[in-house]
Amino acid sequence: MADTTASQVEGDAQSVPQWAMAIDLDRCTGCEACVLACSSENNIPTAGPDQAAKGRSKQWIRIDRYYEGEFPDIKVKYRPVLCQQCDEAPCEPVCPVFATYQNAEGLNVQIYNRCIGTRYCANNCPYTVRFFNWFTPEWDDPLELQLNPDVSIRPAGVVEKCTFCAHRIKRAKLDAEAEDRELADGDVQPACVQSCPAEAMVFGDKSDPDSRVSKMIASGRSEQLLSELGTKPRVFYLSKAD
Amino acid sequence: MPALATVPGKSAARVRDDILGRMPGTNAAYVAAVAFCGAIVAWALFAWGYQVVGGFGHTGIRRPTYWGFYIVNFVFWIGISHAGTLISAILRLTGANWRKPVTRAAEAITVFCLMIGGMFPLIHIGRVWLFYWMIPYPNERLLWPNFRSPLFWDLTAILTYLFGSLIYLYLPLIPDLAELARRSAGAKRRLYLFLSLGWTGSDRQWQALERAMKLMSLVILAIAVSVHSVVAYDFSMSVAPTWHNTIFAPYFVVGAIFSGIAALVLVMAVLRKLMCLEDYLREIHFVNLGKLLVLMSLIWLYFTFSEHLTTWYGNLPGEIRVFNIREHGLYGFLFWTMVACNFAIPFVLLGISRLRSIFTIALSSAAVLLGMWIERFLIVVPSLSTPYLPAAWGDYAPSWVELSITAGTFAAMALLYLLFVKAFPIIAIWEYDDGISAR
Amino acid sequence: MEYLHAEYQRTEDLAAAIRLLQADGVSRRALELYSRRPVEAVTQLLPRRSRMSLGAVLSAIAVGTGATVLMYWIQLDYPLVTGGMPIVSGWATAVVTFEATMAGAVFGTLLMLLKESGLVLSRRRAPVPDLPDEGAVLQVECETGAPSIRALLKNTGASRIEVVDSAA
Repeated sequence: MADTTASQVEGDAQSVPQWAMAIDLDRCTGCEACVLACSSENNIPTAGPDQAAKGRSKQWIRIDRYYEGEFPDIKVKYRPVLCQQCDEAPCEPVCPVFATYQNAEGLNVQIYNRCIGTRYCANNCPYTVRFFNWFTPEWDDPLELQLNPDVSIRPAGVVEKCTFCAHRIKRAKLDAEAEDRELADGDVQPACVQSCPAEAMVFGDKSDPDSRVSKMIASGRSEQLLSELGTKPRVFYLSKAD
Repeated sequence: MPALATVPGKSAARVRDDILGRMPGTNAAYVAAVAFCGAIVAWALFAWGYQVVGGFGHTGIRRPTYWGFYIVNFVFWIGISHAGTLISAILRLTGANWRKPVTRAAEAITVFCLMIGGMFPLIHIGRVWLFYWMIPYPNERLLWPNFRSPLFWDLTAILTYLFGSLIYLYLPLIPDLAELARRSAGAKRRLYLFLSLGWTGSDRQWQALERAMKLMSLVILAIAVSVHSVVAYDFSMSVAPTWHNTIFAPYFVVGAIFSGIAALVLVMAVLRKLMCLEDYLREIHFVNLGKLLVLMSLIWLYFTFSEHLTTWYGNLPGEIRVFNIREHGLYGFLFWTMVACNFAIPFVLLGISRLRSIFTIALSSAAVLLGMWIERFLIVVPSLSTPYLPAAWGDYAPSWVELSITAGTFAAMALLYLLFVKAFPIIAIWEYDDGISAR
Repeated sequence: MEYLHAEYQRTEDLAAAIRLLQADGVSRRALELYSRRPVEAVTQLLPRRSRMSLGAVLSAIAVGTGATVLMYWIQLDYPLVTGGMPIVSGWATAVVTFEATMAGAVFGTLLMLLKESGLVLSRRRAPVPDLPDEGAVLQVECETGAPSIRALLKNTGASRIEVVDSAA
């Protein structure tokens, strides 16, 4: 059992989708619509200016900016960074209470109720996409009126992160079941993907060779972030070779 | 011909009366010291309560530096706990007689430092009221802990070490407890009698005790090395830049022994002054420990050099950034302060024989403790605040909560020691054998 | 049966007495030395059999093995994948195995000490002499009114001899 995968443990790899995301960096305009969509979809509390200045704001997806050249001859590159849902995630084995592990669909899941807040996973994430709840979450009036009932609110003291909108995956599966059909490519759209005006992000099942995400991964333009660390991320970035 | 009393000049009975007579009474100075330390500890407990109730945000910890002062203190205190093990176990096994007046002071440091250091994982976690979820027992959550996690290794290592070192402190205390029971009356006598487990002083008991201490020395030595290795594994099992490092386990063990000796010297110097133990804790003990201190300082320097040279030469993008920020600015200042404290000061003060005295040895030890604290800070914080992706870089500064709790742990150490020396003789009476001047 | 308590001040006298008593046919079990400090010279003359090391090793193996088996059973019973690691692996659990082994050794040593020293679990009925400030008290268990032993103790330089009835 040198290389155990979650699908081997939980059942047949064929029958479960293997979720992945492809992001075309050449399309990304850095508009941060995905950041806003994510925050409202996933009940991410606002930090307020004081706490944000201290580095306590939460963005499950963030836009990293890279500058090339000197002003005014400057080029900016944007890279949306979210949880990479690594197949060999460094954050998982270090948790003493199994608050995070790999599920059969390749999601790196975070169980808030189990978390005791050692923050070891957050340290061990090379992408720094795990967030800690410093306080009991609060929303400025009237933001609490738009909370998403499908997403739990995380108490103080636990770590949270992007879930690939696991609740939307669940909803799509239930809908497909109700309509008595197979889950089709494009049925699942995380909030960030749905809100991207440039359609830079694509989400789907990478075990299905005909899915859009599989085709983008196979396009020859794709790369993984910090792939040299061997974390095998499920987020693929596409950019022109330059 | 040797009489049964092995201390020339001082009969065994004199030594007994002497050591027991120097246990502090309940005078104003003692009460004031206890009250002072107790007040600081109470303030630290308040700060902790404030953090638990009000939220972890009241500390200075922030993304990406998710570990801060608490983990630094954790490594620092667990490191110091190696004092007892080294002095007591190694010297006991090698039959170094000069250890005898210092062993109990060292073993007590081990136990207290483990109690204090063991608190930090609790203080550090976000939901401390659920800490018992880490303990493996059949539970209603139907979930066992993750045995692959270095934090679980930590839990087992520290509990084993605490259990072992408590017994290691307690066993040689038993004959002295029987002695104390003989000399006290009332409730005190009953307590000491109970704690002495029915010690009669028969040769069967002496032989069993000495055999047990030999075995315990071996076991506790292995445990001590493993404990600080496991503390190092917390870091080296991680992918954070400069943490994923094979040298960390031995480096941490060396640093732990180094700071342990320093703590022991400092504690001995204070005890010597406050309890007037000048004829027991003599210059030779300090000089011997000072030599060990210089030796460990050189080994520490060697490890530090190897670690930094490898990082610099390897020039990996993630690691070299951490290396560079450790060289400049505030971290650079701390880095060179660390080198001065851990190497330059002890090397000069103890290397030049004219400068060597109890005072300078104690001074070097204080410097080493400071230096080793900084070393742990420089391992924990710069790596975390400089992760691989520059967009996530951040910084860290402690808030009053962390500073209060840190101060509280030093006061707790002093408080535990104050209570200990009042209840128990700090020099093992039955073991006392001036192995240096005798013969 | 009665117990003779002979107080000695000098190690040689004590050693001589023990040697002569044993030559006289007094068994090791009937001899017990009480002192406030260990008397090293006597350790060779009155070696007490000990299984402490064996007990410690067996306990270490038992606890270490027990903990390891438990971990493997738990991990197979409730398999969760983390970081692509195998479900069970000696590497991942080696540290816990080691610590459990060491805890077993400590525990075994403690139990064996209590058993062999008679602390807590003592079943010995012999009276315990008052310990002198200096020196040691040799206790001899013998037939009531054994004059030869009493003479031997006196001749080897016992400073004080007391007779204690076993009933007392």
